[in-house]
Amino acid sequence: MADKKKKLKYKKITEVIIRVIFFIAMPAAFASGFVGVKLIFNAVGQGKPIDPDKLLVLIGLLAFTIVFGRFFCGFVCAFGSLGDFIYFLSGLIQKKIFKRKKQITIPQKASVLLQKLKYVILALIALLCFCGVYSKLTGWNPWDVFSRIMVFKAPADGYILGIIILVLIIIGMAFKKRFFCQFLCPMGALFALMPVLPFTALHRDESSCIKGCKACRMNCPVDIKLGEDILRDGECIACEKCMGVCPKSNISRPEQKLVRNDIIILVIKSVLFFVMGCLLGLCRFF
Amino acid sequence: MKYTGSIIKLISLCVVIISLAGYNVIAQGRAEEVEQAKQAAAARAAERAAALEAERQKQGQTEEPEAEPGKYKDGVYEGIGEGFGGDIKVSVTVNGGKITAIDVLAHDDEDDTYYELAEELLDDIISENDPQVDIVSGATFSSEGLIEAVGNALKGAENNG
Repeated sequence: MADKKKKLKYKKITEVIIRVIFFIAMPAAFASGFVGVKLIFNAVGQGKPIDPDKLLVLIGLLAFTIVFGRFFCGFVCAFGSLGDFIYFLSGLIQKKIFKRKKQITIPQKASVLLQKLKYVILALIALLCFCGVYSKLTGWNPWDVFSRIMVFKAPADGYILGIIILVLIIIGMAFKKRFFCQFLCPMGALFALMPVLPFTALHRDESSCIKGCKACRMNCPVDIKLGEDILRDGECIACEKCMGVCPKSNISRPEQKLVRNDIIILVIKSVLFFVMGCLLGLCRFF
Repeated sequence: MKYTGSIIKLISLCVVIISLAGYNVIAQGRAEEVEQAKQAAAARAAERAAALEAERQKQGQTEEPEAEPGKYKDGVYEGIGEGFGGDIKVSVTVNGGKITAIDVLAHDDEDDTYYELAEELLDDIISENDPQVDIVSGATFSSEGLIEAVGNALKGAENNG
């Protein structure tokens, strides 16, 4: 038991290091990928051909998701990391200052419904691009404001709406795990629509579960019903929080039959993504 | 069925990819046709101009038609604009009163994806002979930086009468 706790601690440390590296090196990866989506709808709306060279980042991100699940969302995306950090901070404040034992959060039923909102946002942006009005609507995009802050610059003039939306999102992040990722992110909506190869999805061996144990469900940041053998839900962000919390270690990936240590798998995936990101020009340093 | 959801997703993904590829083939063909039509029109216009010139020479009107003064003075000008992550430096060449070339000297702090998108508008600036062109959507900051840099460079080139 002590061994398992130690391993969990090591995994947590590895995760934090990986996410900090990606946060510093590739803070605009999510927006760069989404540019490709806007480009497609812009081009189709104008009847112009699509330049496939400009879709490379999008194709790379989607291909990685098809092979490894939403690893990008779980460990790479700067906005996801920001959300987790804010939620952690908010929990700390609620505990230390307001002496609350349980962090305030949105009920599971409501959040499952709210998860559909991101598809509406994706469709709306696609429609605006298709009609050619998107490029005239500058100043609202909270991603733009965020990426400006990441390169240590004040947001551009006329971005007041964007700043307000960003502040609202950050407030949301304080009260719900992965608030932006599961409710609002249009890139996340697209990832959720991708098929994931079955041999990299999480598997759950329900037969030896402790009766009435809901540890995995309680710990899932995106409120997935873990009631099936294979997690094929598009909402799964591959964060592996359920793996660590299961008292019987019933949740695993088939790839663990090849490499038993899941920390090594995590590092391998991160290196793979980092190399791909550098090749696609996502990295600020290489 | 265990894999129904995944299979549906896979099929829809394939459909999307195939339709986009099909669309691209058609759109590319159409773009080429437009390009050819444009070239043909330009060739016809040049022919007509040449014929007019020949006629004028036949009639003995030897004096050159007065050249319209261009918008800008000839020369090479440099300018700086603020892009996504820092300064963008450009050099603008004006020849015959028209912008003929724009070289980007530095764009160190731009995000490559955005910058490459924004670069397109340089062609628009040259063809319209005016830095005030539409920004490239999805690359607002890099676009604005480039436009600002070219505009600043051309401040030194303006013909004031």
